[in-house]
Amino acid sequence: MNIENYISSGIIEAYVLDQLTEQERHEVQQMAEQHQEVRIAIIEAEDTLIAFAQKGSITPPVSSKNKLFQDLGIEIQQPPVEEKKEVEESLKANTSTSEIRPAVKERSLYQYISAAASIIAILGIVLSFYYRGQWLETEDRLFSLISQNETLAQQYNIVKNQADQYASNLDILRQPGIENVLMDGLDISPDAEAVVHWNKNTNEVYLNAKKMPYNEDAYQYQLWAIVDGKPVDMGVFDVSGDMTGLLKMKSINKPSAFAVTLEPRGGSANPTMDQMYVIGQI
Amino acid sequence: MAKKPSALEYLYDNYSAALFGVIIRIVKSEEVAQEVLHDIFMKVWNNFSAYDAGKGRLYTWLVNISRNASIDKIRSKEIKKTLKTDLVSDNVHTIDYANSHTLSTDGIGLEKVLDQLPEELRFVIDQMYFKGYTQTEIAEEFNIPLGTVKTRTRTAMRELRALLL
Repeated sequence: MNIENYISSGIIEAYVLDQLTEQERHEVQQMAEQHQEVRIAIIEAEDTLIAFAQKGSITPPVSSKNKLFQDLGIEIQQPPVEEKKEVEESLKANTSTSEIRPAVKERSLYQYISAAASIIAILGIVLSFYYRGQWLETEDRLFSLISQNETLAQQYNIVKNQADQYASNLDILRQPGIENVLMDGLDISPDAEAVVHWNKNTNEVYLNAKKMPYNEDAYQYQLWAIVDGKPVDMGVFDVSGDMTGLLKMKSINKPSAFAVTLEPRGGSANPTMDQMYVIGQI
Repeated sequence: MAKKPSALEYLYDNYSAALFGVIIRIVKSEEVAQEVLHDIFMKVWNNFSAYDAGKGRLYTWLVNISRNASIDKIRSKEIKKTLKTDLVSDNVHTIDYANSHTLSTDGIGLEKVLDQLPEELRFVIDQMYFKGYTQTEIAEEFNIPLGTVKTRTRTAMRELRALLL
């Protein structure tokens, strides 16, 4: 599957807007695990959505906050913005009335104190903005670390599953009598490739289809063996997700070649020749 | 995140304005928007474990549950009918609303950004983001090929990204 086409198909946006079915979500997550481009596209779309919501911010009335905290039985720790302003204004009012006081000495003392207080207050406000910025940045980094951690855990699981699959593949390939038949891609899909492991002693057939393109739901791949010049059905299979494991197909005696075609779901009685993806002679 | 009372305050102070902006543009009534916002924070607080970091960032999760709750609200209230007959004047109403009721001037900025999008892209964003239609539903409802809806979604998000970031 072409990653650029996949990303520009609009599915990433639908994913970020939470408009996919559980299965489709899962597919996008799998693609994201396998392709960094998809991960980046998701993060970019999320950033856009966040910036979009941020840009449209409308502060709800203070009464909303009060009601919520009351209903949850939680005390508000920071006074709401309005109250802060009132406090500041009453502070200002206090300092201005003090200036009217007549005594010269007292006035200058009050002036010093109020000047000092203003400077401290301004410094405090500047610092609080600075720390708030830093705090938000830290919070963002924390969330991105949590999601990275999650991704790593998922990747670990994938690698572990693959290792288990490889071990069981090795057991199959070590059996005596195994012949490996490489099937190369045809014009329809030159990059495709698949390998049949045919056991000439037991006639068992295993298929490695890791390098086949994903098929759509309406279709399925079908493996054929050529025996005495005629195609014999060897079973259908899907290519999706991780294809490390070998597929057990039908057994066959004395094949001369193997081929894979794409057929309507469920398979066909005869191969559709112009939908042949790979073929290989023994 | 530990469920300390101050965590709720942190969540509320940091996200309520963005979420309220999302909700009010969908439900188009300050009263209903307050109700939806309240319900969302109650749910998030009582059931924080519903958040799964693997499914996306906290912020996008909150935005999406706000959108979904708001869309459910208008659909359940049959406001939908009247909205459909008069899409244009409703949009105008939203903008007026933002102008007259907003506490921060930021709220109007979003409409200005949206106005910069070509009509067909803005339409897709309206239907998906504010009305909650899926790409398939838009294609069927408005007789646009699904492929076109999908590319427009992609283009719209890229243009928004360029305008916003």
